[in-house]
Amino acid sequence: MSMDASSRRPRGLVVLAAALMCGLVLGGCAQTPPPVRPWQRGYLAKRALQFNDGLEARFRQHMFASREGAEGGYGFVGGGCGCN
Amino acid sequence: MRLRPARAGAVLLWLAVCSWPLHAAHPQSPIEDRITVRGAYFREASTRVIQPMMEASKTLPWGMDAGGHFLVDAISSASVAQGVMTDKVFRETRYEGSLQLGITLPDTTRLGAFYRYSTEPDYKSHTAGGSVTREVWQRTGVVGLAAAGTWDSVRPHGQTRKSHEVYFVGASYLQVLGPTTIVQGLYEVFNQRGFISNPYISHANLGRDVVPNRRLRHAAVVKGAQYFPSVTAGLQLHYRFYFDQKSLTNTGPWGMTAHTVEARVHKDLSRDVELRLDYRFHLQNAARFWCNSDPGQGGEIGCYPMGATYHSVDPKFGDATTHVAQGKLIWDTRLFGGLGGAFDLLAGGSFEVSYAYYFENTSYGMLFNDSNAPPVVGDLPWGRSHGGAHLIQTGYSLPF
Repeated sequence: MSMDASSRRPRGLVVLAAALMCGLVLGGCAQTPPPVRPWQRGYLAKRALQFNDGLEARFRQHMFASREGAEGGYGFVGGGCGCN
Repeated sequence: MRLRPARAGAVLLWLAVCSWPLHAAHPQSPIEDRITVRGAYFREASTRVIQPMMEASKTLPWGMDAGGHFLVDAISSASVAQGVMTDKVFRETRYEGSLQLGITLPDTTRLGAFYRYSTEPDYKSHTAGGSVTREVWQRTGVVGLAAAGTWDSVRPHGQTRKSHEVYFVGASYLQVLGPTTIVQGLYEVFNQRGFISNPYISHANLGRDVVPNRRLRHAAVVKGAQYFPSVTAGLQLHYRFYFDQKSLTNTGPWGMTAHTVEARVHKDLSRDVELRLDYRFHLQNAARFWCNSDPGQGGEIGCYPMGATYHSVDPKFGDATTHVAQGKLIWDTRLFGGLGGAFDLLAGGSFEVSYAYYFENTSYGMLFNDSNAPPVVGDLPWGRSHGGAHLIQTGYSLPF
């Protein structure tokens, strides 16, 4: 690997800055009331507020991965449908 | 010892994660006892896939849970993707199964692990991975980390065995912003090595595709969802940005970028019936090594020089624009409740059916004609005027 120290430093500083920001934000969360109280959670069970599509998403991703080179990478298998 | 900024950042990040205050009094496992059966039918002009599948999950004592799925892909194809002439139909069956285990600790941390295996005559694949998620900020946020590895063995007909590996790491954060609003952000990195080419397609002069055998892929995703109680409807917006490179410091022959936007509208038609309309748009640019050598798509067969280090006729590495429009109906079968016997059991389930059309502007999206159009949906007007595919899915999910 020929990466020198000067090319590493900016990335390290970015990670450090991100970590500090994360800490500040999360530290702030500790003191701030949450945006939703337990009795306000009824709508959160609605499908409109769910991001997990389960097996439906899996088939669609398989379809996209075999046709779009910038999709996939999730370890989908290929072969017959040229999905790798 | 001198602490490097990157290492100091990692330590601070870890401390921040570990020090998040948790006020959840009754953490619950997100997994429920449920069985789901699904079927999918995919039809392009030259390729047909029929896929039955089943998925189950079960909670176990001590905060543990288990699950798995099994599916069969029955593929018939004579497409360019397989490198065969249209009069020689390619048939193949693929079997896939997975097992997953999880445990939710009293502090709402959830640890999960899974294994997945897939087999078909010319392709075996093993994938294993793990994840950790933790609810934060009085259970209004979820932070997650995941990692997985895939090890594939590819043995194309008449060719030697090849290997392919993918190592994945991802981080995600989901936050409830209000009683009807949530957002999520994800960042995923895939390190792909080995045989990345499609084994079944060839250039007329240069032979089998030769694609770089290392690829580092990045995807950043943001999602937002809002529910509007006054009109009993919800809206979701997803955006994904993708880029790839040969290594962290070198774009190399890759350099693909893509933007994908998806919008979903959910509408409650009644207490038990929901309609979902989706639209997805995907725009990608070609890999640096790729050129369009398909005269049928406006390319030149001689665009690759003789002796080119890399070459591919696979349109998925080229410029592409795709659209997906989908409609889906979901029926919660509550009306069976109170009828007694097995009907009461079915009352907790939901049935769904969806139809989507996948518009493609590459050679994968061949136009349907009288000889290859599927029955009924093949007569829909957009199937004859635009290249693409029909996708029909249906399923029933039942808690037990």
